[in-house]
Amino acid sequence: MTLNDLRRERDEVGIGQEILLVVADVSRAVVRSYDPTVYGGEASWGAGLEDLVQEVVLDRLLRERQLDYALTVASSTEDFRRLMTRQVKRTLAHRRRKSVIDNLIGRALPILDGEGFATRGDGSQRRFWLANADVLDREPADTEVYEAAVAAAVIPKTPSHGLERAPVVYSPAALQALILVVAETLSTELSVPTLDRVLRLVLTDWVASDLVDSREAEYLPAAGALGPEEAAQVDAVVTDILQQLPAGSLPVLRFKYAGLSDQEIGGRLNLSRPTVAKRKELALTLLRQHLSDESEPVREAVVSELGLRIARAT
Amino acid sequence: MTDRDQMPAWLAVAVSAPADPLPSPDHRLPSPGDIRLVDLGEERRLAVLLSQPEAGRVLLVLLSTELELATDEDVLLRAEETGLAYLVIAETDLVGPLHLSFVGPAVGRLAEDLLGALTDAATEDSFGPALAGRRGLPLQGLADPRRVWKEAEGGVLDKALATYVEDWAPALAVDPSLFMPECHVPEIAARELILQVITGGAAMGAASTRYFLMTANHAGEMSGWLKDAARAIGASACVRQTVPPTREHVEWHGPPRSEIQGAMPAAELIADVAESAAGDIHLATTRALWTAGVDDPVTAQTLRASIGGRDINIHMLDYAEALCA
Repeated sequence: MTLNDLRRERDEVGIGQEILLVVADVSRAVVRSYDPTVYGGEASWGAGLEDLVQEVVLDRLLRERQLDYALTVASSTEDFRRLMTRQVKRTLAHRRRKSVIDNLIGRALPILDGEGFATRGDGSQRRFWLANADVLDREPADTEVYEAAVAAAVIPKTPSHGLERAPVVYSPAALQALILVVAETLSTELSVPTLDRVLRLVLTDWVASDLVDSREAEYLPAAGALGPEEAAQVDAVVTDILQQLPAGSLPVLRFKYAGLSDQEIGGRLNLSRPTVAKRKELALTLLRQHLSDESEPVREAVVSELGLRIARAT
Repeated sequence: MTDRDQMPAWLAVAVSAPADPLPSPDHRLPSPGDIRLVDLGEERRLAVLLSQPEAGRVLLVLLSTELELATDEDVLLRAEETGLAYLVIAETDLVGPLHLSFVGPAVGRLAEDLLGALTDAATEDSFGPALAGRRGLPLQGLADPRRVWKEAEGGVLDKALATYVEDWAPALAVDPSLFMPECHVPEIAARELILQVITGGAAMGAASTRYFLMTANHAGEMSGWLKDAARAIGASACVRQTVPPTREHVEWHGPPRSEIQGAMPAAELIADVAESAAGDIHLATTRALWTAGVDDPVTAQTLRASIGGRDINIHMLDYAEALCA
């Protein structure tokens, strides 16, 4: 089988036995390093493998037209296999992201049904908005979804080492803050599909961890619960920082948490870049002053809790 | 070849409609806006041409179908805007002048109204309204796995760009830790530092000063001029990374910085440059990198062995250290 055979098969029937064989073969090889309970919803890959092949073919190769891309750039059958391997990994990453987001949306619905939110419609047509806000009766544009995601990126995530079947991602308090921030940022009603779009953007780094062979695990802070004394210490330090934060530094710090450059923050707050830089430095200096003598777990917890409170406060 | 009757039922349903033929490669003369196959050595990729050919090279920006990994430097291009059948992202932080011998046929063309906006983003780091809502979120700190992907993408492009550089030996490697976030290097001082590296290269004995310039700039706003500086020293690109307040941010205020060096340790840096350089290796570095292992006799010996016995000339730059103090 040559690359030209595969191209001919694609032109004649879309996807036939040869391409299917390659996909099945690379899928079998790839899943060996993936936990079937996390990525296949099964105890083993036996039956799940056929479902995976079907998903790769239908979603990646045909719907997203990745077969066309692979056959355009591949220069050999080995190259084509490498590109198919990538598509299998993408499919597995999508599965995990979907289960993580579905889980978050399941947890978000009681919050949206709760105090402070108004709602209309049924089932998938349900729309939510802050009860005290005037919102537009339409779907948000891409730019509005992006801004909501930037705002939501401030909310600290719970560290994960990528091995859990259903990682928490956000603590209950963080998820509540996220829903509020998204609802406040959007000028439109909030639907479940919109929340899904926002979460897909915000959780980019989560799906990336399944796609990138990296040393990121080395960088992940060690997860560990704080004792009551340390928790009280964290609370006190965060309160002190927020009280001492110079005027104007709070919104700058909020966008800094989202990873925006000084220039972009300036554009959003209508400030010059040097002003943003100055306010940011004041805030970060304050952080350093408060954290320099703290233990590593307390530092992590303070930085995380501070992000959460800033999101709530702005 | 395959008979539809032999297909699984689910597949027969899915491919019941005839597929559009793959686009025929177009070998017309290169022009801005062309989406072309490019040979990057390790793999063939797609890229958008941003300039007319000049001196045998053409400026291009790399495309990727890894939509899930998009950062705020990556811009989504829809199928109807490219003539391709699929979505792609343009990696505006991965741009460089590729020799025409590596540029293949055209398989698509970017819509005219997007070409200017994409060029501004790739060359000026200016993302206009036409690109609103098309970008991913910024890297979320150094633990963000997309950073590793970006480094790998940059490495692939860099090797291809380096292939046709004449007088490509010996080489000068610019230690990325010169621009570490904890240094809080003021922009003007950092500019001077880069100039020092660029102009100092020749004095140090390097015939060409080129390296893939990677920065973990804490502020992010320097990326525009850093890109210029990168090109001035013949580097392909620089990855901008803002660093949100994290545990590391606090810790990195002072040395040591072993974690960030883990992303590009001295050995990797030198070995990477050595791979594409024929002569001696010159490394412009700071004391921090020096103490991170290069002065260790065993490490030095291993490095020399890995680059075929060539000499590694270490040029200490205390300038950055002074700025950090």
